[in-house]
Amino acid sequence: MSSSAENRDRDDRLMALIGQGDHQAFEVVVNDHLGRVVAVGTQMLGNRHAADDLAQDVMLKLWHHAKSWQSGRAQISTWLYRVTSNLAIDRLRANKTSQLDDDWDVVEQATQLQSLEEADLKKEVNQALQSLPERQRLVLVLFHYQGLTMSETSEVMESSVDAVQSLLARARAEMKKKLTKQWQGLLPDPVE
Amino acid sequence: MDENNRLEDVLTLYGANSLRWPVEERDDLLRFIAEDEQANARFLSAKALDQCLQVGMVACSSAEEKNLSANIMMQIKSLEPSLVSSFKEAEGSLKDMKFFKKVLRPEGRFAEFSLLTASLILGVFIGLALVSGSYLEQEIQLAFLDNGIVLEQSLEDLLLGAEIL
Repeated sequence: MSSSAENRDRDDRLMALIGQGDHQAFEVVVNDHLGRVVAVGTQMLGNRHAADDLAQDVMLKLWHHAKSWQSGRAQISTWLYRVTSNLAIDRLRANKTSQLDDDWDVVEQATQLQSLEEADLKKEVNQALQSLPERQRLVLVLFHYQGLTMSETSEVMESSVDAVQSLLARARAEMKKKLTKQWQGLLPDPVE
Repeated sequence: MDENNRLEDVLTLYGANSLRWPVEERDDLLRFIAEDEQANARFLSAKALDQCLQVGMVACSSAEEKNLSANIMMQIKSLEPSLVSSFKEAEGSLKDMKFFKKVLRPEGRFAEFSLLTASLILGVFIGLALVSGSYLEQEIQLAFLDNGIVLEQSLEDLLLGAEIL
C-alpha cells in the first residue's frame, strides 16, 4: 500500500472511532494537525488570538463531521485545510480588514528571533502578506508556507490547477513588488 | 518554448526551490542557469524573495499548542461526556470483562483441569452420600439380628461375605 493510501486508511479508522465518540482518537487527530491549522489561521487572519479561536472552531467541526465522514474520499489534512481556509476567508470578509496582532512583538519574542533586523523584516513580510487579496494570500500560504503541491492546493481551494497557478503567479509578483527593498538586500554581493 | 520564458514562468510560480519545479523541466533549467549569466541572476533574485518570504513563517510553540489542544479537548468532553470518554477506559472495562469470561468460560488446559476437578468433587460427594446411606441401613439391620446382639460391621466386611457373629 502506498504511503498516501496508508494515511487515508489510518484517517478513515480514526474518523470512524471519532464518529463513535472516542475522545482519545480525536485527541490523536488534534495533536497531529493543530499546528498547521493554527499556522494557516495566523497567516490568513494576521492575528494569533483569532487563529486560536478559528482552530477551536475547525476542530469542533471535525468532531461533528466525523459521523458523516466518507471513507476513501480524502485525508483529514485536506479536509482541515479546506475548512480552515473557508472559515478564515469568511471571517476576513465579515471583518472587512485583517488586523495584525497588537501583540506581534510578543509573538516575535516567542519565536526567539536573532536580531532586531530580522524582527522588522518578519513584520514587513507579514504586513505585505496581509495586504494581499484573500485568495492570493491563501494560495501563497498553502503552496509556499504549507508546502502543498499544486494539485493539493487546487483540491483545498476547490479550483482548477490553472486558476491556482494564475493566483500563485500574481501573489508572488505582488510580494516581490511590495518587498523589493527587502529581497534586494538579501542578494549576494557581486563577485568582482 | 524559449528557455528564458520557461525559466521565468517556473521561477514566478515555484520560486527558486528546484525540488518543487516540474520534474521534466528541472534538469534542463538547472543546466541553463549554470550556463547563462542572466538566467543565474534571475534565479538568485527568486532565491532572495524565497528567503524573504520564509521569514514570515509561523511557528507554534509546543507549550502553546499543548494549551490549545487541552482547551479543545475540554470543550469536546463537556459537549458529550456520556459517550465513551476514552479508548483507555474502554480498554480497561474490556480487560475486566476478559477476566470474568475466563473464569466463567475457562479455555484451554485450565478448562480441562477445572472440569476434572469439578467432576471429581461431585463424584466424591455423591459417593459419600451413597455410602453413608447404605452403611446406616445395614447398621440398623444388624441391630435387629437374633438374640438382640448388635454387631457393627463395616460395609467392607459385608461385601466380602464375612460371617456375622
